Amino acid sequence: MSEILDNWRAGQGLPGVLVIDGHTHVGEWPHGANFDTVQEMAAGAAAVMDANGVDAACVMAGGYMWNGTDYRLGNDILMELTARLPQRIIPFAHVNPNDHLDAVLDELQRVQAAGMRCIKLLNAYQDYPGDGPNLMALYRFAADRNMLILNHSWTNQEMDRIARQFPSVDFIFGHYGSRQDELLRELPNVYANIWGIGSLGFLERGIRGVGPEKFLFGSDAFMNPISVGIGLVVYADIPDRHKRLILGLTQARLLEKVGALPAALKEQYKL
Amino acid sequence: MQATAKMPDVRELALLDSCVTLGRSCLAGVPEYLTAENVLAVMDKYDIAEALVHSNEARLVQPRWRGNQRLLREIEGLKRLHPVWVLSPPARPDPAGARQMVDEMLSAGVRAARLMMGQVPPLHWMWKDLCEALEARRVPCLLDFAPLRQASTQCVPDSLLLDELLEVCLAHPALPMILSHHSGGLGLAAATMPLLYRAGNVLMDITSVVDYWRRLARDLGPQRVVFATGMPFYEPAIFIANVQYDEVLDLPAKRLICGDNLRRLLAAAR
Repeated sequence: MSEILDNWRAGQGLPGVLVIDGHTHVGEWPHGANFDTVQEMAAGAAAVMDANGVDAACVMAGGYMWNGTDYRLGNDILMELTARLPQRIIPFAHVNPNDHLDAVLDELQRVQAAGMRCIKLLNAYQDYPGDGPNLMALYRFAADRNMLILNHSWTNQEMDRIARQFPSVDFIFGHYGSRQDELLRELPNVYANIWGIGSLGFLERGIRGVGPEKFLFGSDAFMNPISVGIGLVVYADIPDRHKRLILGLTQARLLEKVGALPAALKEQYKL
Repeated sequence: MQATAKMPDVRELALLDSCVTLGRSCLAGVPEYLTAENVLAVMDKYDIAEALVHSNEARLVQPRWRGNQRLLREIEGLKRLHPVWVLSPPARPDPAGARQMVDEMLSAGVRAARLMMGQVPPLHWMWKDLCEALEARRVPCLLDFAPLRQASTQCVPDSLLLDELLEVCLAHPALPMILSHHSGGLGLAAATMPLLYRAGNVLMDITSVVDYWRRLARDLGPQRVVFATGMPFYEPAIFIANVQYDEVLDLPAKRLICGDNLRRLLAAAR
């Protein structure tokens, strides 16, 4: 019996459960924008989170991640959004490694000075290798400054090299796939966000093979309904204590390590 | 945390899954398949009340009648499962043959068709006879754009295919056509929403994941959207709660999308 599933089925959300979506976007996506203004982003994101029982979301600004756009503008939007919902929006800054290294590092310093402790990468969409020189410099920056890194994807070979070279940094695969299982088992500083469209039973198989401690709830909201990721966890045939880890406790630990966990959540859930 | 507003109980919504594939499949990445022996247990696990089911065999192996007939034998007596026949049009002009195909289908108790438009392109001159026969009997049609030999029902038809489809849809305005398992992580083809705005007989299911179906429901009404999971190729848990927890749609709209739209369409097939 799962109290978490029972409450979710009954339309009550997730009472008493810390829920942090570790993978969301606001703004433009290939098919269009989900919110037009920062004001709409704040109101819309809060409405979705409230409706689903989600405490907070790790957010990256969309639209400015494509080659040819200025990623700094996306980070500006993210700063404005975070200022409106500081206890519910956890910003993940973005840089395009195709930029000059100096500019990449300048932007990292800028966003860190603004309070951002986390980085989201999408080099797979930017035709840049996960272990290219600018990203290796970024990982060094993150190690020196104690930052958390989420990436749409790395190859297994890249992750194996990077995670071993920077053992103090926690790295999160943006989308779980079974090819990551061995890395997740072997490398203590590698995690996977669950959001992905796998086949029947894919996440349960992963949790059985790896253990629940390495998986983090995510959804690619707010383009997607945030419940796409919640459903994956609550319907999984695993004990409630494992669901709690995946829904928020593990993400909270990683965020707290880099100083990014909102104080209100720490207080509310006695973390 | 607790949801700030009470959402409906998922069981109250009586989910009717419009895209479920039955049959043993040998497919890398999809180790769990569905058969008549296990599908009801899987549906129970995910709070799915009923399902439209089609045959894996009929989708992939010719002649399709073999898989279609086998499906009926396998699910006989399982009231929660509604059979769907997989169809492609006769190669030569044959209105009588198309009418006979539809007659046989309805006589066998099959009230929905899955049209293989990824294998036979949606050129109206190829599909005209079959669509006329289906339209005359108001048979709801699920449109399958998966290419030849692709086991998964998931597809993202490009804008050129959708351009061809538009002609078919507009030529048969009384034929309900459902974009089935049209799903892509980075979105659908640019012509998808424009087609839906122009062809009032076209519906889509929620497997598009990204906010297309929500936009359609909010702009044109919940009667244009149906529930689906695409299992076993997709994990059903992804979709179960998406309508249930939508923060804008009201309860009547949720009931329509979750199952009543499809029930109405199936009942209208004559």
